[in-house]
Amino acid sequence: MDNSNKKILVVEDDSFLRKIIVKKLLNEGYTVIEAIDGEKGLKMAKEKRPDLILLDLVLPGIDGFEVLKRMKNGAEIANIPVVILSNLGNRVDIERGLELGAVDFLVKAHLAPRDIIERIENIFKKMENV
Amino acid sequence: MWWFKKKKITNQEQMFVGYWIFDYLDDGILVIDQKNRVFLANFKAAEYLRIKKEDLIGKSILELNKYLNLRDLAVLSQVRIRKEERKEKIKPRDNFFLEAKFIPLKTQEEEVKNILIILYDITREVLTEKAKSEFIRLSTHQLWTPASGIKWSLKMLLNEELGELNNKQKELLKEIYEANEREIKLIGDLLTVAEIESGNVISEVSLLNIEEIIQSAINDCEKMAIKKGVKIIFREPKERIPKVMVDEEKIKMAIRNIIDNAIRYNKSSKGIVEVGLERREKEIRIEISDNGLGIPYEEQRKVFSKFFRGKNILQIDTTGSGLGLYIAKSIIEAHNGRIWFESEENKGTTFYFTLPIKKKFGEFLSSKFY
Repeated sequence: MDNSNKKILVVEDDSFLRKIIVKKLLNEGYTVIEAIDGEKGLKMAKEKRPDLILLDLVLPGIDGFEVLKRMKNGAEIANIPVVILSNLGNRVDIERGLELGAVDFLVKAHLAPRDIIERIENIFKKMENV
Repeated sequence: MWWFKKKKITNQEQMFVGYWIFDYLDDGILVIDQKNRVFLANFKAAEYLRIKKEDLIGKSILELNKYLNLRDLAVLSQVRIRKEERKEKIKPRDNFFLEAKFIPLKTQEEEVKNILIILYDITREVLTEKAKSEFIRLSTHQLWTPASGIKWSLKMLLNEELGELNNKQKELLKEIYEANEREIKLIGDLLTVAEIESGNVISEVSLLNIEEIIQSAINDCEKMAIKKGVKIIFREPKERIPKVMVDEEKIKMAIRNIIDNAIRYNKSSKGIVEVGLERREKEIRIEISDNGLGIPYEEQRKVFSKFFRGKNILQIDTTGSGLGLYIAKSIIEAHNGRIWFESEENKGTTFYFTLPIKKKFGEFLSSKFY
């Protein structure tokens, strides 16, 4: 599958994790942009209009939930699919994320990188079929 | 002698002193009559409700509830009808929490006319508990961060995405991966234990089909069962099993933990774990039995304690956390169920637990109030 026309924004403050995800996405052929906190993430989303956003929840400054809220309120970027990638795995946080408009909620400690790639592929496939 | 001449304290003086004590007590006190009107109140109660003491007297508690914020005023009639004490947690306003104790005052004929309401300020405990939960929640998150990075990197190495590996390298990497998985699970178990210790065992309850939850738990354990050469059999119940009010995630966790143990305590391959389910009058009973190592008699009383692992199992399987049964027991008891077991060394073990069949929704404990 040719992914070079798809741009993914990774919002993750931990550099170790961010490096691994970015590397994995690049290996799959995606174009990748990175942000290390919520504010920069929002800025990048507005400026670069990615096709999908991987969003961590626990971030320095504003948290992932706030980023999600602001994204859904900002007209131009409200339609970008957001996949939450976090280690806050309890039911309350998952429900909150989905209610705020995330299309999926992945718990880092329970998944392998391959699983993340598969979920992203599924989301893109679904979007194309619509 | 001087003590013969000591002045006797009169009844009236006793009453005055009693009244002062009542008035200045550090807990709020209200006494309401049969018509639910306040006829006695002390300064603390007035302070808690933010109404002048004089204005409290004669007011109906129903009217005052906008300052008190009792969730369900039916508690008053229940106290009168059942002639029993009741306790309720109340949140009159933001960052202010009270525990209200309702005590029926019985007349000589054992009738309940008046109710004594004692209000205890529990704000400090509630806020401390919240702060502790938040700290634990964030800590486990922080612990999981490097563990996730390790998990992912190892996966990529094991998939040979960064180059081919020889067998020795593969084996070592697999062991590191498994050790990391154990750490991830242990952190999760610690988080669960912390939630249990702070009283938050159950969050959301709903009326559910227990058979489906059992099957789901069995599916989660399938991978490990195959690895250990153990077969899991689910004996279908003979009769229709009514639904139960449970926290789905937590009950599944409890069942999973017991099945997990049954698999680990297996003797060798060809082990069998049988799960059975039956209805008894007011409860359903679930049985999980194995034909494994059994629990040594001297250790049986320690089985449900934290971090306990049988001496006989430690030589075979060093990977369990020792928290599984403590967690399972806490979850089942929070659902008003019972859990127990029978075990014989080298023959096997059977765990039993019950869950009550609740008819009335209202009978069940509701979720956290804040």
